[in-house]
Amino acid sequence: MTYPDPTVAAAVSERFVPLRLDLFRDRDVVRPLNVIWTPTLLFADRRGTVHYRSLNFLPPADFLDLLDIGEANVRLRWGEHDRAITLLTAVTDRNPDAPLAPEAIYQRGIATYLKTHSNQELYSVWQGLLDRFPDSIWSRRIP
Amino acid sequence: MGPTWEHSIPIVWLTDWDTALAEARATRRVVLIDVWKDP
Repeated sequence: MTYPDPTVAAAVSERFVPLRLDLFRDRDVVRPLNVIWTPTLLFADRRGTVHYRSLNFLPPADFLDLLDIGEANVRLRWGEHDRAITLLTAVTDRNPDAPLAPEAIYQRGIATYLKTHSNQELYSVWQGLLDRFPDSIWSRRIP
Repeated sequence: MGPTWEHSIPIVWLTDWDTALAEARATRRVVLIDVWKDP
């Protein structure tokens, strides 16, 4: 299981407001969230708007990366570009070859563009993705 | 010594939507929602 891992438990407890909802018992609350599978993890802002979601659990190391990517997606909506970039950079700092590294780099490009409005900076980040993970689905999303 | 997870502090999950959003507003934290079903 992922949650008993001490690093995961600490990250969830210290950085998030953890909310557990039952697909059936909390039907009225869950219905607007468009969940059809359990477990589904949602990352929401303080208004309850969901900005990132993931199906099923992941091994602890990958789950920590998921927490960073999910939080970054919410922070970006709040205009916290630097925080989002820091979170997305942490994924590749921990393990440059992590399974979620390509997604983290791709989204770091977006966060960088939203901060700088610079195509040059955007493609600088994305070029790093193309160089390191040329066959990733995230590289194929680069125009 | 047993597995390290035995020494982990368990996550305290909220179960009420409004309480969670109020907590998120107060702390500026992101809400991590785990939708599950009782097995």
